[in-house]
Amino acid sequence: MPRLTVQVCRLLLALVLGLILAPSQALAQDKEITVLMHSVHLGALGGEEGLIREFEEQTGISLDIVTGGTNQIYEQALTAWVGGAQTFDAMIWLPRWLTEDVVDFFEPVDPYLENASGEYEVEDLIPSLLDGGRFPRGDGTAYLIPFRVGVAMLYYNQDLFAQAGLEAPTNWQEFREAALALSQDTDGDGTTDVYGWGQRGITREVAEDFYRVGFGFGGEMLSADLSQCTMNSQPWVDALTLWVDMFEQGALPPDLLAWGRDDYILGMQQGDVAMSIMYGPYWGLLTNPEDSEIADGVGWTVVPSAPGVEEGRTQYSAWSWGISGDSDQKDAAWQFIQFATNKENQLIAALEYDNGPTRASVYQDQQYQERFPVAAGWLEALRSSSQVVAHADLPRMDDIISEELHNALQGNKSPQEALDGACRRIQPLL
Amino acid sequence: MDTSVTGIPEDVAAVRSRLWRRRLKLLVPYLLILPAYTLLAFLLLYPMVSNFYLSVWEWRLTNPSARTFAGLQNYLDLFQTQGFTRSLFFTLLFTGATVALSFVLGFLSALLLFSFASVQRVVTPLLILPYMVAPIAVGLIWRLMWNMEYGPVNYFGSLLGLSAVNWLGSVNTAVVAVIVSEVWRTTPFVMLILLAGLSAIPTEVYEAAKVDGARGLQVLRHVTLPLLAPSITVALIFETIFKLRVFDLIYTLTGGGPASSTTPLGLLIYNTYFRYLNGGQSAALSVVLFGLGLVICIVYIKTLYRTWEA
Repeated sequence: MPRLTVQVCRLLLALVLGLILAPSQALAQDKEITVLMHSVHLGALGGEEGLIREFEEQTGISLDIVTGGTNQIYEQALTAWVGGAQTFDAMIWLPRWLTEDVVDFFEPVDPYLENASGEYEVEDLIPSLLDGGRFPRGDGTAYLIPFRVGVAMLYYNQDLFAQAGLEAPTNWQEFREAALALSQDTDGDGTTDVYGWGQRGITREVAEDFYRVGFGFGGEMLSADLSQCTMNSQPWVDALTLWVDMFEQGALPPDLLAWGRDDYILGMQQGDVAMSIMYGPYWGLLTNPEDSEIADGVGWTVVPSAPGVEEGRTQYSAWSWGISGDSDQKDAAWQFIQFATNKENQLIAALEYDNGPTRASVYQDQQYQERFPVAAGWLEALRSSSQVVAHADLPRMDDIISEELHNALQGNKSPQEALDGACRRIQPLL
Repeated sequence: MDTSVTGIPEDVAAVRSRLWRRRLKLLVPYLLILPAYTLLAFLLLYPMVSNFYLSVWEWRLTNPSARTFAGLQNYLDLFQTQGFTRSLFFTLLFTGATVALSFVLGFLSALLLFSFASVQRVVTPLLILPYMVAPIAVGLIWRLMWNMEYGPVNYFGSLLGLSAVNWLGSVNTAVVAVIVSEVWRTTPFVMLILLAGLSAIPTEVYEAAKVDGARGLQVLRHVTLPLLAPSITVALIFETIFKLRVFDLIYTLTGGGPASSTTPLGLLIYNTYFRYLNGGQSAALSVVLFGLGLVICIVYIKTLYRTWEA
């Protein structure tokens, strides 16, 4: 065979072998998993350069991160599952979304928890949060691992309270008196400049804030077997009466029904709102001197409670990680979840990126307690609080409640009539 | 008779060949548009038929294969729900008000710009800026504009001695705010179409009208409007379709509230499908919205084309 032909053949062979081997070698080195999360959770992991980078370097697994808002997470995951697209390997999820409609799309995590190394310390994860990720809730199969928790807290402007000679309220009567006393026309132009109380009033968001107050009155949304609407019971009527009274008496802003998340955070940051019942991790936003004018003067206490109701009882929500049942990289997805929720990284995320920790050890950490004096209150509130029900028709219930709350706040219905109307419409869904 | 190698007389063969060529010539236009029509059928007709098919089944988004035949029950259920009738009423009110206002303002702006040809090139790009902004961003911008305490709308109102209005926090004013925001966004679109229509009217027609002694309003009524009818039809059809299916602007501006008073059918479909997971009912809602648009567009076309032809 001529020498040139031999050389060409060798070259071709090398090329073919190269083409065959190169991708498989690359695959062996770089596994990639797609993770769906809220942009807030990416921040809580330190962004792409923080814990995410560390995970990739430690494991050789690269992360393709897809972020979205709360609703988009739900929609994107559902669309991918129903369309059989196998898009995501792991995703952040709310326990309230873990219903019979979607539970089969998730991979049970019990086997992973059983086989987890001792270093992972499963028992350190707050048990009630872990139980919230089970289906049926409490004692069913575990599908979700809690990553970020936020319990509602009462945050207040210490200066305004001091000027009015008030202490932080511990019950709803004190709360009512404080809200009225703190509402002021500071420049004497006949309009209120500081509102005693600020909440979210916009469609849907109003329902969540109302649940936080209603739980503090001792309310339960549905009966234990989820078959009866109990939102027209006395605790809820009392809660709505408080909202309506405060709104009518000017302690809540007149455009409350247009107030969303940004509005009430801004209201507190600028000193236009004296107190608010907020998602716990917003503490970081209120005490950030770059954004907040009251950074040094934010007070906190647990949500007031009605007589006979456990102190600090309110609502919490725990964003949790789950593995997609259709993933072909389940082990890699578990490695990521384990990394994001292990003891060391929960502490880093809490200290450096303001994440609401889901491990008891972080709350007991001295460094953490110094950085977040409010942490003791969070833990106390978590112990007595609960999550909203996990029911497939909860989004529709939220919309019905929102609408009826707006009816009551606009004076079209009394609190009892509005909540009776809500239950009449919710009952057929149960 | 001459015969070819095939045994067919040559003149018969020639006639057949001519006939084939003629048939082929007739077919060519159809063949040329066939790919486009096939694509259209695939992209438009199939989803429409499929959506109607889906609307007669009861199924949930999370398990589409487990479905039961519902016939027209999904449609009947719609009329029994409080949300649908209110949403339908709001959609019609919103569409009527925004189309009418956008049309009047767009037409006046187009006339003004057409009359001042020298500034047209500079001003037109500036005027179409609102239409270039994504509706979701428009919603966020106007959310700040309507803010009761910090919003520029109330600020300018206060300069005129008006007291602050609770624009987005009250049922009636929220409807007004949503309509005004949408009119601000889409008036440039109407203006652009009508301006193009005005530019296409031959100047000779105006000169002839002037010679005949027609004055300003007479020219507008008897020359401009009839000749502008095709552009008006296009603008109205597009505007109506856009308004009927509005979603993003309202989603960010009011979220459909207060008390669901600004929930259009588009938002209701989204909620029904993605949040309530009710596939059958959301498909039925889509069919109703489609039917509504179709009826309104047919009315436009019939009425305006009749004017145009007359």
